[in-house]
Amino acid sequence: MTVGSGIHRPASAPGGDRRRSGAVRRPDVGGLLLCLALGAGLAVTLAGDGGPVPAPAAPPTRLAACPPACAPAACGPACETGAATETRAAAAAGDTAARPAEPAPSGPPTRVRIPRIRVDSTLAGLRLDRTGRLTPPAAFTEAGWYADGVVPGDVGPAVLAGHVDSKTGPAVFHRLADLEPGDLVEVRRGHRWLRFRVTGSSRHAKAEFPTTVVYGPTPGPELRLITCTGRFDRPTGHYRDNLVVYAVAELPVVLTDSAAG
Amino acid sequence: MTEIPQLIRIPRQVGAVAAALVLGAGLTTVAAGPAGAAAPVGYVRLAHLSPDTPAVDVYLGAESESAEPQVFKAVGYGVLSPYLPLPVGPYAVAMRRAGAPASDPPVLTESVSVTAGRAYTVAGVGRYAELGLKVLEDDLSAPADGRAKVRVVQASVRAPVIDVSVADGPRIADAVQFATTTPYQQVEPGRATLRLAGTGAEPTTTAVSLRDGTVYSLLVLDAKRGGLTTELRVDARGGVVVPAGGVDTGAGGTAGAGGSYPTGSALVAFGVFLLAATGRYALRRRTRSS
Repeated sequence: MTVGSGIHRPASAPGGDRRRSGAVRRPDVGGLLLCLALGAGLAVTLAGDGGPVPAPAAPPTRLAACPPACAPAACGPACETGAATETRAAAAAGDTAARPAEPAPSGPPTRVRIPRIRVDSTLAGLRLDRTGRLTPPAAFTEAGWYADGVVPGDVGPAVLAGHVDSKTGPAVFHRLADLEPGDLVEVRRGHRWLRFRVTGSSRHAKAEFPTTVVYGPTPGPELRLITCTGRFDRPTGHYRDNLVVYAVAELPVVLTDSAAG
Repeated sequence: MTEIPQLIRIPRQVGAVAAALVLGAGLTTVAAGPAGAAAPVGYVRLAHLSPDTPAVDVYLGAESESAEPQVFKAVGYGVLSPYLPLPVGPYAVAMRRAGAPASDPPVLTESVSVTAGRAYTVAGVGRYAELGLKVLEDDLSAPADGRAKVRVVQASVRAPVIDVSVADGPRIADAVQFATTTPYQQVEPGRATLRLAGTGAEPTTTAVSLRDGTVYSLLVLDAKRGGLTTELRVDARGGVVVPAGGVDTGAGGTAGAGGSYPTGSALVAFGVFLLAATGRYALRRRTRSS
């Protein structure tokens, strides 16, 4: 079981405490549960009741470690060595011939792979329900894509959604919150894997879902991976918040020559 | 906090666990990333819009970093790069004569402060004699329902003032001066013929196909063989049928017996449970051996 990095530090504290106390009595499980609930209560207070969380001011370290302009779209092998990336304006057909332009992807996406959190799932097509809300995937083990929206790999924000848990345990997007800037997300479309890099994430009460940011226009192909987070509301059977992870396509920057001149 | 007296009453060990939980939750919160700001990237693209300026090498790099900038070689008139998603922060754009060594002082420099979710075009504009680098802030927001959005980027000296309209339709922009950019104008999507008329050049028409939910820039350039030419670029595109609200993607199976707390702390809680179980096991062993 891998747990978030935030866990390691606090975990050592009770360990030390336990040894010192030397208590022979077994921890009272009821008390532990109460304490969990309490801890949760406090945690919620800290997190602003599941509402938007303040943005860290620093840019994502992964990206900043690359050459400055080497953010996802421009990131090539040169990134690793720290060498300057060089993008040549395609002089007439010369460069385009040297690197045969791959045909634009077509057809629906069929799979999503996220190595860091060991997701490898087929993609179900998701539609809107009668109230205009996005219907989640029918299966807890399968992610879905919003099939009336942008297709992954086309310009715009393509939306993938997956459950965080079923009634009994973790589901396909359970570890979505572990994703960090720079992490790879791949989507299979036709015979190709399209590569995307995570740029960040955000949490929102579903009642204050940032529709404009999630579904609004983007300059290139992007992904939004959505799952649930926050408080689980037993009466409605739903979580109160959504977690959104943002990713941009990893594309070579090709400058095409102009007709002008 | 009313919970504290209760905390004191429960066993010390468990109290420590609670402290760990709170701490853990705090850390989880920090790791959660921005909310309102969404994706912590902005977008920059580069353009050469000066008709009589020869090709240039364009350097783009973060101002705060000592790392090498990214170099775009031999960028000629009329080239508009795709948008580059960049971590937020200040960037420097420098232009050198094509082929000039990076150690040469740049001909022009400009800085652009990249904000999350915003888009910028850094363009070499004007005639060679008064060439400048200009930062245009691009508005990538969605057009109104069912429409498209177009603006004109005027980079023709041959026709220094132009009018752009949909043939037999509404005007998009009037009297657009060379080296300027118009605000975005909402237009009906579909196939259309755009008409450009200006001083110094024959009126030109161009057939375009505009999709709803899409933001376009119409580049007006001096053509190689006289007259005007245009290029229609997709600045950004969004979904057309946009879902309402969030998605219900969870059934609560990992929400814990207590019910409602963030999944981040659910993970912490699970870790703590493991820890408690291990502790219990260790204690049992110790009890047995004594």
